[in-house]
Amino acid sequence: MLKIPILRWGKPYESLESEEIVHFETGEPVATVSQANGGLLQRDMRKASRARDALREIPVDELIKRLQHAGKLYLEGTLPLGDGQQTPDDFAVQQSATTGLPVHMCKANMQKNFFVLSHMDQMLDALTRGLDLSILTRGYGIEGRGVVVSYQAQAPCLGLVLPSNSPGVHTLWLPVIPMQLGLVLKPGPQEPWTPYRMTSAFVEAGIPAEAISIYPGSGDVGAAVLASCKRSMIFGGLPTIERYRGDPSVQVHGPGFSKILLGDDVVDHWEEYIDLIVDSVYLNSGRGCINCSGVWASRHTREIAEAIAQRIGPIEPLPTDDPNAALAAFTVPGTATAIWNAIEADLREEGVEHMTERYGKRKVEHERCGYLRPTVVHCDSPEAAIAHKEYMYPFVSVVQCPQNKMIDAIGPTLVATGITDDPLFAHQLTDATHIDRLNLGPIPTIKLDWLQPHEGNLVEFLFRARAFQVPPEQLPKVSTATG
Amino acid sequence: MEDQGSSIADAGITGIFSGGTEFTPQWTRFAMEELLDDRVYMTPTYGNTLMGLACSRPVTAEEGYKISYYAPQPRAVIEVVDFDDNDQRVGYGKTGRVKLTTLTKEFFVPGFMERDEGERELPYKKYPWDGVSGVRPFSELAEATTVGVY
Repeated sequence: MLKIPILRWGKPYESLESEEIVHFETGEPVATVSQANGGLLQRDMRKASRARDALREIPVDELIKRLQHAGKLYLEGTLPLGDGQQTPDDFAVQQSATTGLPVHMCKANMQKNFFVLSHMDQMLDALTRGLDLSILTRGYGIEGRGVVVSYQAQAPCLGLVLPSNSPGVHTLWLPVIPMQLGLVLKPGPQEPWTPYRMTSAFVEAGIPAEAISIYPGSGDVGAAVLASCKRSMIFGGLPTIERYRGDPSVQVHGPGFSKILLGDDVVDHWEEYIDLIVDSVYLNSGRGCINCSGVWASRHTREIAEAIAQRIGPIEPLPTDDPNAALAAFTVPGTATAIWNAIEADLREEGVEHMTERYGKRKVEHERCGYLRPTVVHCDSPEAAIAHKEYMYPFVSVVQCPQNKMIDAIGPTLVATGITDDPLFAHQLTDATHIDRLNLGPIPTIKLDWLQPHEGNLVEFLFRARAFQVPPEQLPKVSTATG
Repeated sequence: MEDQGSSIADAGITGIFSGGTEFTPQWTRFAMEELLDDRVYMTPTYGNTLMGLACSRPVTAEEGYKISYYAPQPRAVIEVVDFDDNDQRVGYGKTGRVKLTTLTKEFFVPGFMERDEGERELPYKKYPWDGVSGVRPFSELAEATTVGVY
């Protein structure tokens, strides 16, 4: 069985405490993972500046090339992992075994990470809005339009408290290394695979090992990441979001409450958008924050709900190695039951109808895990509590709501697909500050344009654009400096 | 202290009684290797007002930083007993619940069942009587147990 150590600025450290991670269905051990403690992490953070120093010795262009090579190694290579080696197939099977995600979805996530790494130059160009990247290295320089600008790094490294249940989120931290900031990763207990494999690929491709730390552990390690890193990201539910709201040093990623809004001008042709709606709800097992959990329209909502239910209601759990498997398991005992109980309570509310009931029971309990089959609910008004719920499986509420009340009623929305040709409605959607990413037109909520920032711009989070002046005679020197 | 170019050892501290919470071998190793630089002797302690302080035998890397406590006999005696039969001691290395007997001039409490469990340890030269290692909250009570000094 694999033994996976802590990585302390690149150096493996085998803890006397370890956790066995097991196959979600069989309980068979897959790996033992060394467990860090908060004190150990806090101590290592004293050396965090060395991570940035090591990366700043390598020009950004060269780091990007190495990352592109790392992407290929991550996707195709056999890489060291703990006391063993890991092929790409091993990776997908192991990740599936501990997270409950079907193997083909794990492989699809590998492709996503590969895509981001192989297009890192374009990603950074988009994230920085075309900034000369050597300005991030030096802290100042001259923009193309001849103006002196300064971007000051706010931390030598980014800390991340990562989730177990959504391996797709790792694309968010990949651009950090070429921005010459270190990484402090606290993996989700069931998903150490991506952070370790990615780090292994980075190091094989020539990224300095001392730029990356990985600290598996319990809650005190997550708290230590947030307390010790001047910039960090955390993934969690609504309580986590509430806890860190307004803290400029923490970027919180949680439920997306992503939605599709059909304008009055197009809703009579709703059948044209059913494929787009269904894909937005159920692809990637509905686990992502960008999966659609609400379809809002002023009329035809019952027909829309019935059509979605007809498409996804019959889907059943299949073994994770089945290429047709569309559902991920809830691997933590009791989770599927708790979610279903909450849904059942909401279904009792007047004006709420369970549209997938006719396709059989939604909750499927196995000995060590549970599944929830796709669920479609119709709400005849936005006041229904379930109209504002999101769960980590294909779950969607179809909500009847007049267009003129829709934008106010939808609440916070990570991705909104607004389908309309009505200029006024389009203008209102564009102005809505509680919508983060807006797809104006028939674009699935799950379709990512990698050249657009996701939920907050990473550059703005890690660097501060500030005023900066140098005597004019020094400007040529500045402009010829390289990163 | 390190930020000011000093350390616990440089400050003149030569020994630390540590206690008040659960002590794991890993935390002890971390403290000895990285905070005390092997120049300060640290002994985890286990105890309460009934027992007094039970010191640990020296904690070493060779023994995997195992922490074994020995009660301050003869004032207090600890036994590691079967979870279901508290009159039956478990074998050496086996897991059981900690049972404490206190006998001082002022106070006698026989066979008090502690809220801890651990493994029974062989006598040690400095403490030639049974010890207990791996002390942690008794698993059947763990959720209701508050750990710490009170």
